[in-house]
Amino acid sequence: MNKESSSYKMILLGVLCGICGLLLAFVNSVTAPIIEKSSMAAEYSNLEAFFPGASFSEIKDYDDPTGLVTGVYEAEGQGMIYKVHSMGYDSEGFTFLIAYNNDGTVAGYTVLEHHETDGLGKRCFEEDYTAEIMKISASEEAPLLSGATLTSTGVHDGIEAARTLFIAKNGGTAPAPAEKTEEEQPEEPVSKALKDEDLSSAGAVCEEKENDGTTVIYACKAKGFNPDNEAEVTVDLSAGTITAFEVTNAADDKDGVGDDAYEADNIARYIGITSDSEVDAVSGATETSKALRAMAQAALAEAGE
Amino acid sequence: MSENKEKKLGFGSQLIIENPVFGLYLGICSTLAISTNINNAIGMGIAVTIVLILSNILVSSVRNITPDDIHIPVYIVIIATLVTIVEMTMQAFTPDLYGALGEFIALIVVNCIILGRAEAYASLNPVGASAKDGLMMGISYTVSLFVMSLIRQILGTGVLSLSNPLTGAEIFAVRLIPESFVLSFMTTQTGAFLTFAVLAAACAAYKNKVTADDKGGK
Repeated sequence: MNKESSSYKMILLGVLCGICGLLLAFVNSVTAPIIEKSSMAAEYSNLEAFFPGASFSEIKDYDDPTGLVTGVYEAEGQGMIYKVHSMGYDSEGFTFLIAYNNDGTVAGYTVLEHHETDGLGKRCFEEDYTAEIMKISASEEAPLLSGATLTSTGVHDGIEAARTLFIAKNGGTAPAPAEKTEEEQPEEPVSKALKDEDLSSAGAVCEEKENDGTTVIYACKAKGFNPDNEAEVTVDLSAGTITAFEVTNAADDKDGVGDDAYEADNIARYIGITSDSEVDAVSGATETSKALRAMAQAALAEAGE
Repeated sequence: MSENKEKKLGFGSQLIIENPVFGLYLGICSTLAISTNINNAIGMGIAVTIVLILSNILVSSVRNITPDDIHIPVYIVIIATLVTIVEMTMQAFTPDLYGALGEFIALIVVNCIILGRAEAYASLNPVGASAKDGLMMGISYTVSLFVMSLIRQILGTGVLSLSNPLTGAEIFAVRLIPESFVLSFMTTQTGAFLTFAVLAAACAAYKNKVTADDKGGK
C-alpha cells in the first residue's frame, strides 16, 4: 500500500490507537485493585484512630436526604463512623469524620480537609471546639461557635446528618425537621431580648455626646474582632428606642469577614429597637455584630437610667 | 560536527552544554514546579527518563513506516500511552511520590524534552542510538532537577531529607541550617526562578568558555 495514501495513514493510526488502548487496559487491570486498596488503607488508618484494633466494613446502602454524608463505616461491635462533607466559609467546603460509640457517645471528631480562615472558622477544628463535640451524645446537637458561625453551622449540619443516620440505624426515629428548628431556637445566642444578652466580652462603653432633653446622642465604643469599633447611637428618651445608628469607626472592616455587619441593610436592624427587641447577628460577621449589638445595648441602658 | 564535539568533550561537559533544562531551556515548567525537594526530583527524573527511553525506542522503531504528515499524532499517542502507564504504575506502587508529583506526571506528555528528542533525534536515528540518547537526556534532566532541588531544599527548609518512595519511610534527614536562618521563599516560585536563573547563567558561562577555548585551539 502506498505510504502517502490516506487509507494507509488511517489504518496506521487506528492500529496504533488499538494497540495503545489494549496496553492501557492491561496495565489498568493490574494496577486498579492496588490503587483502590491503598486508598482504602489511607481511609482505614483514619478510622483506626477512633477504634484501635477494630475490624471495619464500609456500609454502602444508607439513606441520607441531606447528601452531606459521603461515607459510612462500621467498626464491628464498637460503633459507627461517618465521613461528612459540609460547607463552611470556603466555597470548597470541608470534610470531617464523626464517630459514635454504640452507646451513643461521640468516639471522635477529626477534620480531614478544610480551607477555613485561621482564627475564625478554623477554630471549629481546633482543640476547644473538638472537646465540645466530644462531650455531646447522639441525642444532642453540636454547639455553634461564636465568630465562626458559617463553619460551625456546617459542622452542626454535617453532624446532624450523621446523627440522623446513627439514630435510624439503631432503630430510633430520626428527629423531624420541624422539631429540629424548634430545638435550635434556644441555642441561637441572639434569639433573646437585647437587654438580656450577655455581650460583656465586647466591653461596650457609651458617653453622652449631645442631649436636648428628648433625644440623646451617645458616642459608643466596643470590641468586635478588632478593638475600637465606634458608633454614634441616637436614642429617643420618651419611647426608649434607637432612632439613628451611625458607625463612625468600622474597625473590623476586613473584606469578606466583618464588613457585612456594617452594610446599610444590616445597620437598619438597630433602628427603632428597644431594649426588649431581639436583634439577630449577621452570619459570617458574628464578632462584629456582637460589638454593634453591645453598643446598642449600652446606649439603651444609659438612656434608661 | 556535533558528533566530533561529543567525542572531544567528556561526559561531564556534555552534560552541562547539552543539558536540556539549563542549556536548551526545555521542560522548564515541571522543573520549576516540582524541584522543592530531592525526593520529587529523583522520582520525576526517573519517570521522565523511563518515558524518554521507551518513547525514543518506539518512535525510532516506527520511523520508517510513519508518513511525515501524521508523525506528530503518532508520537503523541505513543508518548501519552507510556506516560499513562507510568502514571498508573506510580499511583499503585509509589502512592506518596504520586501524591507529591500530582498532575506533573500526566504533564510529562507535553514535556518538550520528550517530544523534542522524538522529533529531533529518534525519528532520524536507529533504535540503539535512540535508546542511548533517551538515557543521556533523561540523566541530564534528572541531574538538573536534582541540583536545583538540592539548592532549594537546603536553603528553603534547612533540612536535607530523603525517603523511600515505595513506603514513604524516611531514609535520612539532616538539618544543615538552623531553623531561624532558612530562606523559606526558596521553596516558592520566586526561589524556583532565582535558582533556575543562576544555574542557567552558570551553564551559559561554561558553554561560552568551552566555545572560546575551542576557537583558540583551532
